[in-house]
Amino acid sequence: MKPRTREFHDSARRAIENPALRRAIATANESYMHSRANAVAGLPEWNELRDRAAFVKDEALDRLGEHLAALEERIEARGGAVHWAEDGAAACGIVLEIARKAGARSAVKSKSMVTEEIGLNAALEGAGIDVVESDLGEYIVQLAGETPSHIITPAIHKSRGEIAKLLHEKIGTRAGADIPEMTRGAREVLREKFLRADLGVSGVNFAVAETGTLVIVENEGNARLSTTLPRVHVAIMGIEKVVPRAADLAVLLRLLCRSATGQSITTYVSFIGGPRPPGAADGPKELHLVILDGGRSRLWSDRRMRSALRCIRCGACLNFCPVYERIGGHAYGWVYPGPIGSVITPGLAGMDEARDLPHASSLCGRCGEVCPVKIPLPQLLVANRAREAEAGRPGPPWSDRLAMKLFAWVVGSPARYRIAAGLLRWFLRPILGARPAARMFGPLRAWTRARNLPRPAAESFHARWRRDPAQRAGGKLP
Amino acid sequence: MSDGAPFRDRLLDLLGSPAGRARLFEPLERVTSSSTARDPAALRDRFSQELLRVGGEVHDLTGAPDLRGALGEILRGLVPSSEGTAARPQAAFDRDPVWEKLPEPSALLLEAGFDSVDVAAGDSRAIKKLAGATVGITIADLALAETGSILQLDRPWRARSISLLPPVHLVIVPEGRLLGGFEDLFEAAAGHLGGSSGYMTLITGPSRTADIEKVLTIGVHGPGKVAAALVS
Repeated sequence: MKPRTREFHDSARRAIENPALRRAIATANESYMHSRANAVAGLPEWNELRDRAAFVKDEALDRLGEHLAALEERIEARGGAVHWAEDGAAACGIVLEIARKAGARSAVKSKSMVTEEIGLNAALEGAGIDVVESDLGEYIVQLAGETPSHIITPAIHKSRGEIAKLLHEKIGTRAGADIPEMTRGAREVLREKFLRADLGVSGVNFAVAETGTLVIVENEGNARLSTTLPRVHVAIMGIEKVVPRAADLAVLLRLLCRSATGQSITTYVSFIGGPRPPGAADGPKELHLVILDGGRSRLWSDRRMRSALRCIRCGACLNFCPVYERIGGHAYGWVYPGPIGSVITPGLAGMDEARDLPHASSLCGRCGEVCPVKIPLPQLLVANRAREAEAGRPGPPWSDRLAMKLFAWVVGSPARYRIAAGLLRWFLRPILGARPAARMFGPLRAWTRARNLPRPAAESFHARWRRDPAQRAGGKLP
Repeated sequence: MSDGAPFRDRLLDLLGSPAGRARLFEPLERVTSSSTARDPAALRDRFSQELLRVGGEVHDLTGAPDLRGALGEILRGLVPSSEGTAARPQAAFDRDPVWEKLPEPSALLLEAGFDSVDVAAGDSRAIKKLAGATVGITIADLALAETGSILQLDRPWRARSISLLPPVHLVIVPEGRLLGGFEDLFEAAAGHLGGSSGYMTLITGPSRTADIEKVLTIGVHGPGKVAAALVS
């Protein structure tokens, strides 16, 4: 996929000005946060599991070459073929060659971010192969001619009304169909495609080096169908997906599913070691594993950034990110949105393409707190910013720098902060009147373009805190 | 090896690690898990509770006097008879050797009002047959109390898609195959994962999605109804 990260400022502004999008993402994030919190509460050993997961991912990364070689050896021992791709173009070339040799005319895909990254659909279509996304969200996004906006729920930016209209036009479900009806309609169309497809394409969630096992996690059953019915299965993974032992999955699966959807486990987890054994009734006759570098070895070689390769693509850092919540996934301009995207995109797609992304964060730190593999995301964002500065790239304009210096001076002492806050209250309250201002003029216009400027409270937080010991004891303010 | 061989060598060279270090895959100590039930009753309870929570059905037949009658009743409950249609629903079953200790499946199905579909090992028409069946009946190789999951290994007597293509999946869980947590599961399955096929699948309740507005919807690509029958 071609990065559009250079347009970040414009696309972010357009997203902020789209209230329907903001509402859709806010609702989804609330549901995500709620279900994750419930799931984590049921597991007292949560933090111990996070430590262990970080440890085993680091173990795999520290001896990445050996682990990958072990994985290759075991898959090949079962008759699977392992292919190595330096970049997206090479990976697409490998898949096309597999398809050509197999005489494949149609392909079904299960959800995979890495295939988005390499632009596989366009490559297959260019070679005249009919390719269909089979995850419901991905299918919707494909029918709409769009790209996924979230790692786990690709069509999160679309309302059910929009989707009903789309499916009515494209596959003939009833106009105004409800969600179960739409789901049934998609199931019927896709079932036919599954039964006819020559090629099944999937991603990989974990690849176990010790046993040579590809692990695929999903809820719908489309990944199982994609890896069971077509005669050829092509699995594509980044080099960072390898984990040492099967026993490590006990920890990683618990963390991934709870962080991604709040489930204790997804409906299906497939463990694949090779093509179907001789005499089996079903399963692919050929298994190909494509191992993609795609800039990951560059991240790996940089000791400051290596921990970003622990990522298990759960999406939790998106769901908890205040910036993502306001601009959605598309604004980031490439495959991986949110904090993890802002950390790895500069490495994978090149810093020149993505220099704005590390700044798309308030550094509030929630992403680092929820990350199941303890990637220090805020620190890595700062490291990417530092690299920009070290490279002597122009920083923000002088007005921004002056404003930040002034702000730093004001908040540098409690007395200065109180005086400044008092002055602002005294100045803004009469201007703003009773309601928040929807539109300001002069330098404040940028502020109100996509949000209201609220009227400051009559009494400051500090004053209230001093005045009312009862509220202070309860820790609650009305 | 095929494509990209020079790149492979360059990459592994770059990622290579200094020689003389400890052997790979040294086992680690288990993280203390809160899912450590061991006694059969506790395992049964947790398994049922978890499977019910994700929308599955559980029937405890461990003390049932008439297993055949009970299984038939479950099947009729899963597939409500459609009045006026002449064709009987089709049910496929695997050929797990455990069936020898259970009621004979084709007679059971006949009695319950189903036509049985025979999918023999290596049947080249397995997918076609299973795509037309309403129910797939399997025996669980292992089951997991922590999550209410059942595990199916690659077995010569069972097509992979028997638990996938039919809209209803009935799985028979012999009580002795219940395990506590994931640690136990991966320990028990380690040999199979490293073995000649290496394929297995873990199934937890009915197929689901929340891709439209995060609204939970049951029965997308896989079975929309999953029932487990616990037997002794």
